Amino acid sequence: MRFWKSIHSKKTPNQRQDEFPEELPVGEPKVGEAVRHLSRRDFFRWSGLGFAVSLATGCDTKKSEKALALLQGQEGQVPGTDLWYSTTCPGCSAGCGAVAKVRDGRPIKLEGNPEDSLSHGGLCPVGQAQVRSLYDGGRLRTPIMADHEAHWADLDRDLVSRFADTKGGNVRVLSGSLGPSQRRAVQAFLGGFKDGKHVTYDALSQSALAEAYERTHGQRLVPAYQLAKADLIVAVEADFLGSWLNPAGFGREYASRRNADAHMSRHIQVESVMTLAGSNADERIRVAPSEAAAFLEHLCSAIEGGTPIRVLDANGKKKAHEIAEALKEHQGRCLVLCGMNDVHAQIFTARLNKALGNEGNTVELARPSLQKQGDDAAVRALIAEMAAGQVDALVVLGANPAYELSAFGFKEAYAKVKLRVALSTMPDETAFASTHVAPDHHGLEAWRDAEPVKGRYRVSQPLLNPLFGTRDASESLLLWAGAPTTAQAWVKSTFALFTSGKTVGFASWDELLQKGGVDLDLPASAPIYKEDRSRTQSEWAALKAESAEYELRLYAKGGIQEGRDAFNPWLQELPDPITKITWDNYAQLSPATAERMKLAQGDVVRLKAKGLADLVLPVVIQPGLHDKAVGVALGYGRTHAGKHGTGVGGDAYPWLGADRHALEVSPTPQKVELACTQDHHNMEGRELVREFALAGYLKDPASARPIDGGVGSPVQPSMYTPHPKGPHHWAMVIDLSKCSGCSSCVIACQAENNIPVVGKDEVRRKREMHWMRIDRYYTGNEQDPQVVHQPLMCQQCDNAPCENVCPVVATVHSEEGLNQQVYNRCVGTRYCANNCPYKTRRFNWFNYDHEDVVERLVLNPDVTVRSRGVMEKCSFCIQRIQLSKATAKNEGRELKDGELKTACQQSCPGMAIVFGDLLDPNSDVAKALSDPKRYQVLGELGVAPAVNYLSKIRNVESAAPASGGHHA
Amino acid sequence: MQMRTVLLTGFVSAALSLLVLVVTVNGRLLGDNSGYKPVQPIDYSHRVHAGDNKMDCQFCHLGAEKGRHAAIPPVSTCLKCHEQIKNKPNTKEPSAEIAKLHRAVKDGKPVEWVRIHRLPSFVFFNHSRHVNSGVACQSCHGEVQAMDTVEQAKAHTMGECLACHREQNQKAIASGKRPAAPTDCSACHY
Repeated sequence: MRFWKSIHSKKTPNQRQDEFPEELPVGEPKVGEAVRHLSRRDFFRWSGLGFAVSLATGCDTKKSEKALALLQGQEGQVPGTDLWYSTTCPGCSAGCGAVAKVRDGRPIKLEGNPEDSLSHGGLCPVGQAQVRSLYDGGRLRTPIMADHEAHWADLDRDLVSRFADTKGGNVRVLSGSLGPSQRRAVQAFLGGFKDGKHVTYDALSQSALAEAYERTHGQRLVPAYQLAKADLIVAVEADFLGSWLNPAGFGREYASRRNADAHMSRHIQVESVMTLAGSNADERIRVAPSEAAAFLEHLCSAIEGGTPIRVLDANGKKKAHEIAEALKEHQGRCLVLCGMNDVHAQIFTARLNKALGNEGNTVELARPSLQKQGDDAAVRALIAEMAAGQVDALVVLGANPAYELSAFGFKEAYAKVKLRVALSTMPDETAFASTHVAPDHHGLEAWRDAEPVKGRYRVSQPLLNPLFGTRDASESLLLWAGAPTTAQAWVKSTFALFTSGKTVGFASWDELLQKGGVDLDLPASAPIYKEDRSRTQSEWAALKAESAEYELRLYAKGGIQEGRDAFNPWLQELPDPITKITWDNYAQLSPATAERMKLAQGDVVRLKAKGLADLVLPVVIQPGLHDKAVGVALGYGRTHAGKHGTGVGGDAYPWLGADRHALEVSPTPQKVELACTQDHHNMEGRELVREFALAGYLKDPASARPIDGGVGSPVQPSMYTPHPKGPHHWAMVIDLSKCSGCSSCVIACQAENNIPVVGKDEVRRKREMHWMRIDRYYTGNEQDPQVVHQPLMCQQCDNAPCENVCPVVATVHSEEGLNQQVYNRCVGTRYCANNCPYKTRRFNWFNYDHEDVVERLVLNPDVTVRSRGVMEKCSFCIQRIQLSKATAKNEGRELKDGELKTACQQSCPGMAIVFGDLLDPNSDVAKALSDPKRYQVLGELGVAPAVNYLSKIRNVESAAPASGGHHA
Repeated sequence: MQMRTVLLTGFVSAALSLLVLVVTVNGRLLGDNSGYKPVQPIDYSHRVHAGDNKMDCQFCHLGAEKGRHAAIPPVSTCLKCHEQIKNKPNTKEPSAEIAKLHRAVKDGKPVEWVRIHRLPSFVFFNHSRHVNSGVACQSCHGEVQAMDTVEQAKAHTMGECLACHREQNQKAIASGKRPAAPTDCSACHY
């Protein structure tokens, strides 16, 4: 067997898993850990009531129902139709341009804006999940003062007088990276105090990157990296596709160069844990967390000359030299990335990019990224000040330092500040530790702006009236500063300042709102390299090599990231792209380490280090991990994260800091069952993903053609009469070379199709409801494997095995090639799911929770909310197909290719998914079908799936380890 | 058998027999609400507007050609005319019914109409496709322009939908055109 999915499946390849091992469950689902019991007495009570109600109303089917129309109609608004507004994704500081679908006054879907010059139309899972965060029922609804709900007027009166008392004192604002308007509001607020200072931090800090450029180029900046221009990418501990800087934008640029037929780029990843970026690499080199900086030093020496101070093992040295040679061959067209918050590693990276002539090409310094403005040194200074009792008032804006800065001792120092004001959206750790809480709008309710890259201005407009009694943070700050204004006017004035004296290229504010932003061609000059090398050299030499038996590597997951959206159940239930585990973090160990320590998956271990509280986590055995590395995700173990996020996983933030690599791992007698979506999707060793080396493919593209079941294979005679054909035949092609596995599509599908969250316990029982999943296969040996990601949804088979086993004809074929699932006919026999070779059908074991009046606002009214006992699956976004067809017919024209996009296709940062009409020979999907790399999963069964895949091409010379096409 | 199972079985069979009773007593399919004629909060006459004054249906129900829902118009639509017309027809006596509109605006409270036509939540009917294909409103809603108080004139059952779609397709085939009225499940159910 060449491809394998987990250690378990590799060791016991033929063990089949019963998909439905339990009897029909009775009761209610447990979402998160909350349990609701129905007592016997309650059962009688409710059934009695139900019987009485059905008697009273059953004889008359004409139940009276009210229909309330608006008092004042709005120009252009037609009930039941969508309005699309451009905005900026509020998910993180990347500021991706987005468009929001607003239905009857409420945003229900966020999509990337294809015209945005930074994200180019992709959106990451966090962005896709923002609509769910907006409608979270646990958001702050009123101001809080002295632990009690308060009125705005009282809060303002109290704060204004308190701020007046501290006019001569020290006032600080601590925030995450902000947009221009909020930065201005903070300045305006602080202007009123004798000593006011704004300190910025990022939970996933890249402060060292900015500091490195200050030392090498004399200017504190984060470069804007141009991945699309790089023929060779060498990334060191940088998960640029999952959590580093701008994953959606990077994802689009990266994938644009992963085309085997058009000058494919090469990607080498050097890392200690298996990250999403690493899983996509052509070549992946494992290093210990403490060796990564040394590896960069060796690269530097190999390119610039000189003798490295640190020692690498023989293999590391050899690899560093190989990579250095490759980099030299691609001068000016390569790119070295480093994600470590370690100033020396970043200085080496800056030197490398300088020496290789990448500055001005793939590394943009003149117009740098403004994403990570955080300054760790300033944060340390602030906390020292606070601890010494020198800060009179601290205002926290759009951040959760009480949770994220525990390693710096923030919480203890915070308690020493007399006046603690939190401008939060959620009742989070910081809000609970504050004296005053002024609830802020969610980003989709607010006037905001962003400047993720210098000169690229992005604006957000509110998509609905605020749901709760919140107020925009800028408005609060300006009000307290005695200069009240509206957030809209404030953003407008920022834009005027931003563009004054410059050519904007268009006329009005309205046009800006329509476009969502503007790119200004600001005159700029790049800073010049002027490093004090002797300082770096002496500092680096003075640092002790801190290798230990086990070294901690903290990382962020693509869904949970730094943990700010931990209350969002969509993101909690999103399987990690690599481990496929939901609702948890864990200690990742390499297979060899786990074997040596006699630990199995799910065994609970205790991580110990001097001066830190123990971290108790279950073990996950992760192929590809360095044997010394212990990988732990940040963003978990929150104490105040709503009903879904509180208490999920363990908090690794106290362990943050480059000086705390060494740790001790000791087993405990406990064992837990992780909520993993992996093993039950076992594909029994059949050839489901195909992979080829670029060199061989370019020599003979036809070699990628599948042997059977694909193009050119003989059509098997069928005993059934063919389905009648309509005007369209919908089909999909997924390019495995472009799919990074980021899982944006999974959340997009969840938002579009009203997919419920089932909770940790139900995922353990393999009852997750996602219509699309991403299967992750390993190739090669388990210490150092390569990875292929494969999105899998209903394959819409033409000869669908599910259809002919349904006793009630609830799943039938449409004349447009779709495999239709008719909910109102389904009686839940689950025969179809048992007969589906792809295991893409999902069964509603319960009536999943849609009862919260706020949270249900996120539901898409174009898709039925399924009830208990009903089977469901991917519909190819039939609601979008129907809407597009109706629009085209209403306008008296044919449907244009590309006008209709499924939710997964639209969200994909890599543009890996092509969808369209097979009967239109000029459609992208019809063209993609003639690609020699095209194959069908399980095509040999003769089920004729409408979803096709393009084999993964890895940019490697030789066919090993992935020989492609054949079983070992 | 467990107590719970006995009770459940009893409960389910009672409910089923009730269902059978309802279907047979009424002599019609579930979901067939034809004849439903509730009292509305405003005694609004479609006969006066659409019949006597020959107003186009879509003057008020403007969603019908643009979207899924024909929709009950907002009060502001009524006031396009009734800002001026405040009296009973052909008199100088103020109409108490029209006054309700003005009161609604003054109080900021929408009019609570009683909904007549309703499809189950798993059915998606798009008005715009039908209106733009030339299907008259009356084909499904009856002679609304003759009704003082609106009632559901026809049964909105799947059988009715399919009968019409099939008829249209037969006609299209007979005249050599491509049948365009879909009969796939996913035309309405998703």
